[in-house]
Amino acid sequence: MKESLDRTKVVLRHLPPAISQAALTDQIDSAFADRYHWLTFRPGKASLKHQSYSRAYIDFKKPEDVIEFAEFFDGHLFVNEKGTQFKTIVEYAPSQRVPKQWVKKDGR
Amino acid sequence: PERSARVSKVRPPLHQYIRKLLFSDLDKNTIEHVLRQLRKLPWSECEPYLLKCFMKVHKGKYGQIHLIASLTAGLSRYHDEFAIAVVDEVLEEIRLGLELNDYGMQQRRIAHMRFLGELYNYEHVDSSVIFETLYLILVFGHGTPEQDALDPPEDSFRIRMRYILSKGALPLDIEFDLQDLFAELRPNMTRYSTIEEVNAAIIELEEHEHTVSTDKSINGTDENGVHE
Repeated sequence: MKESLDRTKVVLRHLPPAISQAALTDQIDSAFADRYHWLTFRPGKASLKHQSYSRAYIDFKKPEDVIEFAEFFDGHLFVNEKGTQFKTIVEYAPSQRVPKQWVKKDGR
Repeated sequence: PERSARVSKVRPPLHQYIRKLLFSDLDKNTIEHVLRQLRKLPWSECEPYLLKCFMKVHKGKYGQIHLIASLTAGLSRYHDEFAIAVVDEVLEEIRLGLELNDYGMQQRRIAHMRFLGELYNYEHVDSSVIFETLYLILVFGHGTPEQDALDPPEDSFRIRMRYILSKGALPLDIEFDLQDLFAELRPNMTRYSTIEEVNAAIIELEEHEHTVSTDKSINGTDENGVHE
């Protein structure tokens, strides 16, 4: 098991289903711009039948930044237009792998 | 009786093609072909839909799940980001399944566990992730106010996701599954029938490891620590 000291990839769960990637990254970048090298956003679904939360995975440059980020965002309340509150969860991502920076272009 | 014709979902041609490749063409003989066709897709456009389809492993045959894992591995060479997203997504599905504990989702939860195992076989998941996931399945929701909804005492479903002995007598089908599992993986292992026996065995094991590790530190040969 990897020690928490060298884990840098986190997952933000229970984000509002309809939040846009731009709205989320604006919030994150207000305090953490340039402190992560990878971010990927998984939009949720706001439909009535199968609602699902949005998620984001972030790989920070330094393990210490994870702690600060969690203090800031864990339990953070997002409120949508209708006034529904969404309480964000910040956790270490179960799989710590991130994409290699340089991937071969597929010649197909 | 009169009723309006059912409106069928119209999918864009590319989505239809992806579905045809994954859900009807794919078998062990065509996998090379399917992989090549997937690589030819316009990726920036198709990646989210492809991810969605890869998560539908429960719609296909149980014995085919390794093919989807194999495709993930095949694609990772050129689309590492995709392969990583597949792993993150499966782990999220497993976690979500535990949070909702919805009866209707059981079949897909089993399929997702199988998928995770196959991804491990193709070296896209580390063993630590497997152990952490098994541990999560073991403890999730216990000791919280929601315990009765998340894992009621008479609910044996999570055993199918691999956990044993903390419940009473098992339904027969699950008992048989377990016997099959042990026969296949550990034919020589003794199976304990009570929590007390297990505890005694664990204490013995820990004492043994303790002596071994003190021996080692005395001899200064720590490097050969325990790997799984």
